[in-house]
Amino acid sequence: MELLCNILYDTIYHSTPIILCVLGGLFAYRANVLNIALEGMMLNAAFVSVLVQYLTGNIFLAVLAAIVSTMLWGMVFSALGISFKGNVIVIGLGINLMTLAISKFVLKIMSLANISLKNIGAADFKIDIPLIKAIPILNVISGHPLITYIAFLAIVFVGILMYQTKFGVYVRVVGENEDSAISLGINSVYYKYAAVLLGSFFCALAGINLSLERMAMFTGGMTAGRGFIAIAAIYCGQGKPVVSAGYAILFGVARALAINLSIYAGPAAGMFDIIPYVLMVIVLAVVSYLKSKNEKLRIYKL
Amino acid sequence: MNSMVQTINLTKKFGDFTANNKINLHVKEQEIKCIVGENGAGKSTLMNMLYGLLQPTDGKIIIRGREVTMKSPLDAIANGIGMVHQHFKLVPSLTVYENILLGLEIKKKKGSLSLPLIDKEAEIKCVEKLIRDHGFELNPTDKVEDISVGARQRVEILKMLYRNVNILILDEPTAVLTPQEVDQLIHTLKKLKEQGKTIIVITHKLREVMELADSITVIKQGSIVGDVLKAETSERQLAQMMVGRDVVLRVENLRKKSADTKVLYETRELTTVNETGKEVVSDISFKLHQGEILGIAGVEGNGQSELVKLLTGLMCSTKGNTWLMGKDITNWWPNQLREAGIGIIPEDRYAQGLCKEMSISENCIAGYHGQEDICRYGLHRTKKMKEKRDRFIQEFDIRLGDPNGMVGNLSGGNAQKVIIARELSAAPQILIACQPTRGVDIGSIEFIHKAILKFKEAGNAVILVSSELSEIMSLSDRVIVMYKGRISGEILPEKTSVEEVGLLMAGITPTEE
Amino acid sequence: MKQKEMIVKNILNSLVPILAAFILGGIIILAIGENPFTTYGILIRKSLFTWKGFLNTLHYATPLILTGLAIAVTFKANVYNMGVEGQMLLGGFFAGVAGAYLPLSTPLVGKLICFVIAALCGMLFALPPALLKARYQVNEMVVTLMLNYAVAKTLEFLTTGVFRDKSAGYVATPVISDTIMFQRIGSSRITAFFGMALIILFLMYILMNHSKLGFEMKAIGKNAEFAEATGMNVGKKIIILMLLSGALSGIAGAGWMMSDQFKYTLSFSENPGLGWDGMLISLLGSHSPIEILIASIFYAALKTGSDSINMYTSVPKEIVEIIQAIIILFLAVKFIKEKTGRKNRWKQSRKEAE
Repeated sequence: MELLCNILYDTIYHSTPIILCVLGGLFAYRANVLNIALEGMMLNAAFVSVLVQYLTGNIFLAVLAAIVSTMLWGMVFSALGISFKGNVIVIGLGINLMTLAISKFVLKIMSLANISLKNIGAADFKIDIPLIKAIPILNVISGHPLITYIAFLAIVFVGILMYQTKFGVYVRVVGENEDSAISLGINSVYYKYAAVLLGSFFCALAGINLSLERMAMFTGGMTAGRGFIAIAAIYCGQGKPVVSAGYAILFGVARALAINLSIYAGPAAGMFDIIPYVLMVIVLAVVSYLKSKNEKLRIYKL
Repeated sequence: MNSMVQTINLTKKFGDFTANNKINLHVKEQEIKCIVGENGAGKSTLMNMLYGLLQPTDGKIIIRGREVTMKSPLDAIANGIGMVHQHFKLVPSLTVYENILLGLEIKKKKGSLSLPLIDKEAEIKCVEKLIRDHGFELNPTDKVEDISVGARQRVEILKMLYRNVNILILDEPTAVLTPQEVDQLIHTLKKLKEQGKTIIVITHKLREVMELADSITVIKQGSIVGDVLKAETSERQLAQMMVGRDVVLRVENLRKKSADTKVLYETRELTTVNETGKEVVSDISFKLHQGEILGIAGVEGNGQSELVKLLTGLMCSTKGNTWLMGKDITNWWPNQLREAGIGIIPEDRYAQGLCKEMSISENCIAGYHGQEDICRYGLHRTKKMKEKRDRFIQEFDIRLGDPNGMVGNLSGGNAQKVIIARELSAAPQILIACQPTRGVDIGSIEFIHKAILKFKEAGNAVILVSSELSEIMSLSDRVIVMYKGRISGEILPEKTSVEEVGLLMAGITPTEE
Repeated sequence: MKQKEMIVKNILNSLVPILAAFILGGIIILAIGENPFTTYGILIRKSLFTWKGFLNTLHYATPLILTGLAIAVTFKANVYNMGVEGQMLLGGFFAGVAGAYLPLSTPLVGKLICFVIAALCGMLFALPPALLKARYQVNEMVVTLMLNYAVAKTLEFLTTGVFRDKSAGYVATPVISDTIMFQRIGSSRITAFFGMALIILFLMYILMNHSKLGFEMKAIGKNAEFAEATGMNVGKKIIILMLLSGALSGIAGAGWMMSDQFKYTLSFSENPGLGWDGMLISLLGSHSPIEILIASIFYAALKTGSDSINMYTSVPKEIVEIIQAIIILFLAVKFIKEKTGRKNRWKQSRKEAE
């Protein structure tokens, strides 16, 4: 019972940053701009939020700085990739390396191995939901930081934004048939920028959640490939908000299981860490297999 | 009648290349103006300037007596100009109504407050009314990917009419239609004209020009070479103006009886599905004899493209077989097919036939790049590759600036000749030629047609797939017509009228009496 | 004539990002109150303009040449093998384990066995993503990235557990036997492994520029549909190229193990890693072997120089990583377009439209 509750709670806990990353990558994916800088953007927000909190002690400033700086990376990505038509994969990797290097550089200047906040702890961010808190099992929904709740609500929000609004329709049109958009005066560059920037906003939330809210600390490379897992989830869900978020949650489940069960594994516990990554590969393979089952064409789309 | 559209010395240059040189076009209100010219004459450039997709280098555009500058299609629409492109600008995954209202979505309202959500019901109603008003046949909630090409064209026209345009430009509107659909389109356009619209049609099909136009402007090499009224001209005169010399309008195939010659190639019940599992090619069976050109006709999108992919090894079949001289070659890969003696002129020149960013000599060996004369121990012999290229350039009269340049720098006709040279010089027994003259100038068309006939007369066989009905009818010995992935009929071109073929292309099999 | 122009453009397209990166890096150095010119002076002088320093640079360039080539053979075909880092680690690890546990008595055969094991390990890693890509068009980039994490975790587990050298004071596998260590030449760190890398580089040059496979690689990268239509069996070629890439990565790891590290530690390939460095090198060298050689020497110079920076200035050596990342960012954009490119491209699109 206790174990089940722990697993459920951890599922929500570990799903959150990936859900946000997925939602962040969705619009860019639908607009036909593959954003693999999710990882770096998330790392940037994780770093900046903790750093600013550490230096100023002002939580509002920390969050603001994280969001603004991450969206600046979004601008860099868009400017080089969309306006200058650079190779977006290379740009994405460049941003990933860049944010990592900057965090290491700054930590080195400050002579710190990692930043650990003293005056504020992870517990300070947890919000209990009054009634649900008391119900057994269901109480796993309660006691999460604010951004976790935002993440789950955002799935619905993004679903509506994608299918019910002009913005969503235009982003999809730009991705599917850019010529059509241009011929009707829809500014395709604008929508691509918007898609990437909206994505970097969500990545910022993911990063803040990861470092500041959950742990109140930052260590180098703490994003540990979550951005890439999010990309895998988007691929699996073919860019549909709810389905893709579902795959993000699946990763959360794998993670929660790995952590909670490794206690019983003895010395092999270290191997449990690889489960989520391998699971994602398997899921991606199965989804791609099902998708290409009827494919009789021998032409590769590289 | 007043002048509706006028251009004064309109010029467009791309670097040192002049695409349009001092064009003085004059379109009157409520007339149908046809603009004719060869491929590459500059028709599309002119229209793209009128629609704001390109900005003129020099000159003026005057709409209803007022000079305008158009920076984007939106400006053009605001000035009452709409355009239906040759390649439709529709979004396949969206519905008909979503496509028509794209950019002008109707938002939900709560009282006087406008919500940021789209009101789908109101949109459907609005489009239904639009369809009724113009007497079109369309279902607003169908997805565009599911409807026929003719219907898509109607969606494009409605998209413009919804935007209240007075001037409608159509770029090669008949290229993808059956003869019957062409008649229907001509009827629609004439009706629109009666309603007060001014219509500009770009085409190179002179027969349709004669049926449709009130006046005709001929463009050659970026300049206007003729401005005539329909009543005062003839097809022959127009063709002369277009090319600048007397043209043989078709190369004649001297057909011989070939029914008793041996069968070189055969398919039986070939069937395949697309990625959604829907059958797109169904039970295609035919025999190809020695010394025969078999034409495959049909409106684009009726499975010919998939059939060609099946025959050329780019797609697998779900059922059926293919034989080459008694040997089962079903689902062989393209390299195996070429080795077995099948030459392939693919449908899309720059997607499958050539690689624009590779050199001419590299393109000259592609597909045969493993053959011993140029490849030894897995290594390529650069000198032999160059020799081959130079031989092709000479034998097939490929005109180019720099033999070491990229294929992408060649004109359409010369690029196509590279493919023809490559495939024919490998001495195949079967040639699968798909759209061999699409986007090619008239001189090269003649050359390519002659090459195909010569190949056939040497005792080989050809499968010719083309959406140009006149090409199929003049070259083929025998024609099969495809409709919705099936063979809807087989005809002999010299004994069949274009109208009969048109019916087959529309899926109507003549009832036997 | 045309080719010369192309080469000049390629060089400029690589030089502009480097210059831009050094200028931006200089601003950062200024911002922390140091002199960028002295910093860069130290960076370059020690690594390129002393004989010993230069040989050391070549030593550090050696695995990078191989990982650069490993990236190039896939990137050139528009296939993104992001698993070079993991393949290199896997190769290095198992070469190290073999070198420590197997009775390898003759230097040459022993080394050969380790290289073969490493190459096989790299290929084993590359095979699943290659098969998935070829059969079901699974995105190889995502799969290889995921497997990188899985491999890193697995090796961490093996190093801290089964293969841990208990006598060492830190987490490491046992030291490989002396017989299979590459011997240093003279007082610098350079070994025969550098010569081996040059031979492989030469072979890859022939393969990429003059062979049937190289031709197909290029065609697949430029236009996969064309490649398929002209009978190149794209799926099969992707598998071959991925395996080749995996083998090269594995060899890079084994060589690094036998010429420099001699045991597997958790910082075997440092940060961000020889595989990731290989990517920058390949991009910098526009995926062509000769330029990859130059790029890896330049890159190794930055790396060896960064240690000097640490010693002689207060600038953290991480500045070099920032400079590298800026180079990658700017490399993605071609600043100097092909001269006639735009016009021709327009001409073609016009021809297609009509």
